Amino acid sequence: MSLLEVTDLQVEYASPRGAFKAVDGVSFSIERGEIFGLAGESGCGKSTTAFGISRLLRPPARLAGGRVLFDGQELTGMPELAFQAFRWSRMSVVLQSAMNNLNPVMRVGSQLTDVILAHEPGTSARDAWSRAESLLALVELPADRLRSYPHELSGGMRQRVVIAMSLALRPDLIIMDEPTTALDVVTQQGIVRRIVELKKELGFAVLFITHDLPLMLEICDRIGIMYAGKMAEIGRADRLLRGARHPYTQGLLRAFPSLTGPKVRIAGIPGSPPDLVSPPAGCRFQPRCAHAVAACSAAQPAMTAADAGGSVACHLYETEEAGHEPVAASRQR
Amino acid sequence: MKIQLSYVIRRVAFAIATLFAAIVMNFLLPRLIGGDPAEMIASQTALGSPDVANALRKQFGLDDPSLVHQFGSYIAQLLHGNLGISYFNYPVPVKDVLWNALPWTLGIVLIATLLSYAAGWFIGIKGALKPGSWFDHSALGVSFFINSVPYFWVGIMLILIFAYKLDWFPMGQAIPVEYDSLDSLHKLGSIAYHAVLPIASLALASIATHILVLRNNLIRVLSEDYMVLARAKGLSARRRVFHYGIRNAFLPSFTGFMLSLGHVVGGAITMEIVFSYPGIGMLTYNAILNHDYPLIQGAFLVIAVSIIAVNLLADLIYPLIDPRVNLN
Amino acid sequence: MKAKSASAAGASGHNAKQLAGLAILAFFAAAAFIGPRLAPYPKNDIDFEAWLKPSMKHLLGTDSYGQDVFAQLIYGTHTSFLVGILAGAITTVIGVLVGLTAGFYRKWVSDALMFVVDLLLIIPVMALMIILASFLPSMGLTSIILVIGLLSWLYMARSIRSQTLSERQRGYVEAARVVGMSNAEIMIKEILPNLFPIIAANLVSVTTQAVLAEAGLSFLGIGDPRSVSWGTILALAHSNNAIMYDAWWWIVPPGLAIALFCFGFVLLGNGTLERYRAKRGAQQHFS
Repeated sequence: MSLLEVTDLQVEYASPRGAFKAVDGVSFSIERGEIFGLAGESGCGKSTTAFGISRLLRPPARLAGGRVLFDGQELTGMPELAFQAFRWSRMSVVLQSAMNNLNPVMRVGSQLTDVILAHEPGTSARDAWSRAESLLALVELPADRLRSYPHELSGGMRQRVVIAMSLALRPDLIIMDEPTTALDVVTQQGIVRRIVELKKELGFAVLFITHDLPLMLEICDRIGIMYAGKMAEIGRADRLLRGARHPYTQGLLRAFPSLTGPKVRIAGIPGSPPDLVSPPAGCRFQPRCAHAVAACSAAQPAMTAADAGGSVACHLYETEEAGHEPVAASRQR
Repeated sequence: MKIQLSYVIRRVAFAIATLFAAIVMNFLLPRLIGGDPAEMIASQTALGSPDVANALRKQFGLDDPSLVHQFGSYIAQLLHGNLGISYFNYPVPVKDVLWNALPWTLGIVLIATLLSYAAGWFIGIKGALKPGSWFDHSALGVSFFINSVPYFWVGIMLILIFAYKLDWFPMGQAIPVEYDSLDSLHKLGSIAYHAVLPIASLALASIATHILVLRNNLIRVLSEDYMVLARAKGLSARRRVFHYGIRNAFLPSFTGFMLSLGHVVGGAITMEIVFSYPGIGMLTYNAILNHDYPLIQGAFLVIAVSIIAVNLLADLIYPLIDPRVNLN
Repeated sequence: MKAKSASAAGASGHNAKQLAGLAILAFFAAAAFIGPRLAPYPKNDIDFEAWLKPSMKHLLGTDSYGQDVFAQLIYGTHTSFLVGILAGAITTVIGVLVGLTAGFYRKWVSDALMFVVDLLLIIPVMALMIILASFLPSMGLTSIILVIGLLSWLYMARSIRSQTLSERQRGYVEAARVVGMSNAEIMIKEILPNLFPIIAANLVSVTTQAVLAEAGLSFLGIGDPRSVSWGTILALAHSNNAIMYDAWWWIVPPGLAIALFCFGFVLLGNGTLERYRAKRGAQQHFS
């Protein structure tokens, strides 16, 4: 049984121009101890998916459908109070590093202890404090930082505090939404390295969301690529790197220079993501797709299983036999 | 500690600089108007005689041709606590005239200010926690309305309804005619009775701003990222609202609150006139109408000093309640 | 509630609040400029019996001088309208200029300007207005407008400055500099448009404040004694003990006129802001 199983997740936004689905039928699963990456351009719905799973959506966004199973337990129907107790103790979140995730007028220490005290009310203040100290040690921060206010810390240190916070109750899954995006490369490297080490030590699984594809390929076991509110492709990281199936994934990979591979022209994908209030008929990527065929504008492609545990939602693969790669050739142009 | 000391020194220096500027302005104002104020006063009033004019000229230091010398003697007078003689209340010193009016103003305006902040914040918080509810909507509507009417009109309307129509409260003044014949308990009671409508008017007239400011601050704070994280962490609604929400929403209001306290002394001119209330505002107004320069200057000085003092206090308190204030 | 009204607005370009605000202001503009010609009786006409209750002949009764209150109210609209618009405009121009300059140039320009602002902030503006107004040789409409306009920009300058401070951190300012735009160009072409929402919000409040300040000054008997404004009507009502005569028709209408007029600005301002946010916010919302 997977740790997390998301089936047909739908998140709807009310906008001035009418409602639209920012997440439209997304399904994937995460195994224990696995780092699952979710990638895509900004606005593709990857963060919204995370907020939908953790039930942190704020109006005008709302969960419009789908099912989330955690360790066999149904999350979507769970009463709010029960969910509040569940969240963080088994599934915590690390929000975007670019955000003000810490209360500016409270010391770091109280913000770490209050999560412990909220979930384990019997804990003494001293115990909570010493646990907070060891949490800081986990993210390689000195214990005296507990007495600091957030503005006295650097961006990297603040994000380490947020990660420490997410570990407070030893969850099975941590949802990390762009945890290092706003940080400089060196700081980012340090934090990502620490996350991977901690994962090995503590054995939690991670839903890692970023638009930084190279970083994702480096640390994730499996990756889901989202486009315009839908899942385009899911596959093992090494498999994606060797040969992505979906034309969008291929485009994304081409948009980044490879450090080790042969020199390729850095080419973005022409065009821009569709307007979700009135999305194009058929495949949502079809207007930008170089390989579009007649079927693409007629019907939405369904997610179909491919080799090595991957799956892809693309008409090019529905008619072909699994394993055959009609598009792959064009990559070597 | 070192840093804090330099911060304190800078704030005190600013307060002194503003005080000096206020004194200079106060000194120059009657002189900039042109003409000889002493002549003007003496000729305008029944006191008009060369003697009075000369006395007044001496009092202003106008017999000295040098403006610098005049300013010097003005400062010297101030340092001795001498604000001059009010010519309209001749020969009562300005200091005494102000001193008599001060308690009245302090009483009603201070109470009204505290009341209106307390009630305004309460209503603002209640509205922000349930934006769009009927409570929030009506609080907003009433606030916008109150913000759109003149202060004094609120007072007049309250008099019309509660003093004239319902006859619950007196229509004005601070004390009844028979005040002197009352024992001290009844004296106090009658003062309170007379103060109800002025306080209610002042509080009502200023409450709208406090409601709107705190409501908007709190709504903004509630949408901050750290509030999402606080909810995700499973903190109780109580802790989220008080420790994460209200505390952050309150901070920007604190300066405004202190500023209002500073304006307590001079901030109720029209309301005091509506209620014929014998405070500093009424006094200033009459002094201006009567061209009672020493009294105008004196009133202005008192008002400026109180504002500067409270501002300084606010500057010194703020770093204690907001850790983000950079003391460098 | 905001999302709803905004969604109704999106397509049509204006929203209900803006239209309602515009309608109210248009109504007062008509009353101010056409009204005097349609007013039932000449200005300051004292040909009637005093203290008449509202009737068909005198919609809002008469005052202690035997003037028709409704007619006076119409004449008063002109003064209040002009003061609100013109003093509000002066305040806005100074507030934006000072705030933008103080926010854009760091160091001593900013420090000096803000010192002046902080200094002026400690002065009780109402009292200063009274003093200036009472010392100025003649107090016409122009002086009132100038006194109010020149003394009300402080808070606006502060809020514009702090917004400018945060805008100049954004990438587009740096980009404009790289392209070789001058400081003045960056301020006017790049930053100013981004200040629009904050300027609109301030414009509403300074205009409202100007109308209220005029009413206050008139109430204190400062101003052109020959002119009629909503404030002078209230001042006369108060000094002639209208309350004692139960003449609510002399007290309530001017106050409500001021309230409705200011409310028009509030609606227009809020509506404009909502539309602005809906337009800008839509893209940023779900990234």
